Amino acid sequence: MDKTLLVIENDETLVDLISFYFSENGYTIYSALDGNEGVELALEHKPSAIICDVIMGEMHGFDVLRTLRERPEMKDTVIIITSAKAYKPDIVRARELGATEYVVKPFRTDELLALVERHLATPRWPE
Amino acid sequence: MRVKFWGTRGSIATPGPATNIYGGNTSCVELRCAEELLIFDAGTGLRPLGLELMAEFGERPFTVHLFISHTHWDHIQGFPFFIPAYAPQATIHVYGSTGQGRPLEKILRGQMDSDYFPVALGDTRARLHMHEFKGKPFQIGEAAVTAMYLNHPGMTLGYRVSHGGKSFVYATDNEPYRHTLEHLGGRAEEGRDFGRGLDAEFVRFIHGADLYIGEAQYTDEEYPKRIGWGHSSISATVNVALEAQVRALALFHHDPLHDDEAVASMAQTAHHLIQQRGSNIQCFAAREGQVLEL
Repeated sequence: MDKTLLVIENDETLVDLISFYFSENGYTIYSALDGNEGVELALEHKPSAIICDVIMGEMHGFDVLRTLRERPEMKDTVIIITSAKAYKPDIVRARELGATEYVVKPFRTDELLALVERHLATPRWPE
Repeated sequence: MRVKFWGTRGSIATPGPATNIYGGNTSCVELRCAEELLIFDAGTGLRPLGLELMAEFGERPFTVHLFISHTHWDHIQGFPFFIPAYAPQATIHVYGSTGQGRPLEKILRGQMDSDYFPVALGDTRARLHMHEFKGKPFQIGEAAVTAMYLNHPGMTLGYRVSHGGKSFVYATDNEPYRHTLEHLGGRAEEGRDFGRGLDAEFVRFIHGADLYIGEAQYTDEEYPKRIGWGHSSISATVNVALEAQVRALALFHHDPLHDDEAVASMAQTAHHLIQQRGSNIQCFAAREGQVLEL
């Protein structure tokens, strides 16, 4: 199983926390502090999973999600949206745009890892 | 800075004798910074403002900077009725966030689709320029503008404008994170603590403002049944104003269920809360047509 993770999050402390925990569990980590850079890294490295925040200045998480899901090579990538926005309409819209999961902050890194691993282990239907 | 309230109501326009004092038009505030004309939100209050601008400028060229907090109806519904949008002598810069899956222009174009309105956005005659928020401060003439995302369904921005040593904050449709994360998230206690940190960021954003236009849609008694609707209680907004040491607080985005008597009563409640804390913040319920000099 390919274990590469891209973290797109403007809170550097959170980036460090997630990066440390996932790298301890065998992941290669890429990280970006804003959405634009995150999209660039996603297209360059094609990670197996992406954890993406919503509220970021340069490009917010919904725009990241929409941009990535429009790319055929990103249609099966596990994308977990994380946010302090806990409103149902936000969660529903993220799902409509193709989010694999929507996790309301604060979260525990072990639970986030379990979620990513569960989705990575789920077989995709062949084309 | 000169401020004029053209629409103070939240959710839906609420005309009639019961709202004559505070007004029934939805969110729209005009801000003049020397020669610059800024407008915050395009609720139904934008329509009468547009008429006044046409009377003021006539055939002369003029420029409007229109800041959209978010694209819920009560913040954009006046735009199709904004006469300057149809005036070739007008230049309109529209600022806001992209939506959740759609650019700002597409959302505004959508409300003028022929199923909803007889004139398309593309048929307006003003020079329209859309500017999507990119997180960085910017200038409009001598006025410095910053923005931050608020806690409300959809992508909602609050704005702060500084000019000539004065500062103005327009930040409506905002609910404390500590409440939503306690009640809507999966971890009540941790959520509340995490939310407090985010709420403190908002206090920093408005800190020291000469005028903070903040919402107080609900009484403290109403709010527990409205958690998760994206709005604040009166005490939450007053507490934010006190913590941020603003000079003046305008209670805004009045609930459509609140008649003039109810809004006046909420302003009284706010005064009591402020007095209890020994503060001298000026506080009032924003009234349609009200003008302030900062």
